[in-house]
Amino acid sequence: MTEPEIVELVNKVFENAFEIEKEKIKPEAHIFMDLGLDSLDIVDLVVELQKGFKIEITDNEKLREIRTLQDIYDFVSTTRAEMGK
Amino acid sequence: MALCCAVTVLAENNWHMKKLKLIYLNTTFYLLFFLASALIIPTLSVILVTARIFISERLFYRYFRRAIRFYGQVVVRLPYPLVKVRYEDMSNVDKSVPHIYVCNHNSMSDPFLMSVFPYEMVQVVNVWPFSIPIIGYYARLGKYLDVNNMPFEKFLADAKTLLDEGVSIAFFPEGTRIDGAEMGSFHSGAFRLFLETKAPIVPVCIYGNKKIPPKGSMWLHPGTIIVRSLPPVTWEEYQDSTAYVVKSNVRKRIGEEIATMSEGQ
Repeated sequence: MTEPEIVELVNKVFENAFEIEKEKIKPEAHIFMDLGLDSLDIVDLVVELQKGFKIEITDNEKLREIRTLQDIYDFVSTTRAEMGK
Repeated sequence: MALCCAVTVLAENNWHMKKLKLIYLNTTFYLLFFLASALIIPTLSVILVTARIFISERLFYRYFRRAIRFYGQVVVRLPYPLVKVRYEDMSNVDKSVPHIYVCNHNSMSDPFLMSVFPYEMVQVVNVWPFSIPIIGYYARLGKYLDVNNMPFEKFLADAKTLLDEGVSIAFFPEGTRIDGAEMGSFHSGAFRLFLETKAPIVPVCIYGNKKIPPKGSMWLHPGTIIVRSLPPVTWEEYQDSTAYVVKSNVRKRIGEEIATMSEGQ
């Protein structure tokens, strides 16, 4: 999976599972301040990312550092690489 | 020149009148508030503690929450006629089943306004209401939920138990009061509970109390408060959605209704 494909799939998660308007979905968008997610929504985000990318997310430390959509793209990319995908 | 002086005098008189009104409102309200609290709280406490000997725990809590409602009704009426409160129930809910009430949060008066609802209800509140002497103690005794000081799983389990017992739960999902006209972003706890328990959500719009009292102050200002309940949101509509989607839609409905209410004023 290429970087643009990861970006597209993550964006789709935000569009479909969170019904966030396309215009708001930008790499620099802050998921808490700009998109209105809270710590509990992260649970749903993790479920959707696991489903979409067929990965297992267990690293809570890295998850806690996520602030922007770009952080999520990087997080997914790293997790996939660690899983040898 | 004479006209100019007359206008100045009138403006000054108007300013003095407003100030006097404010002093009158706050003096009478707080005096009556302390008197009513000193009379009602100990009297109802003695009655309830005595009754507990003869009634079941469940019945005790039902009467205890009814006592809280009675106290709320008294407090909400104290500043009348300078502060008028109007309840508009457009929800048409089945009162025999518990609901999740989701309200916007303007002022310290919101928990009092919500306590008047004619159902057995507890509120999910921030830390500060629990720190009010006596009232905070009674809120804790009535099993009001302090979402900030308990793990979410424990909160969810307690909230489910309350709904199972037929007790409605009121949320202020903004968590804290926001300065200015805008509503704050919503936390998703109420909506997660909704998806898990299927208890319908009743959106509630509180309008007109941003200055009764304003954030960071105890001064009440005259005005009219409207508390409007909207038709419920049902689980069937959102069974395949995330809590985020429910919260966004409920927030939008409350925001649109408040905009309509402000146009009507």
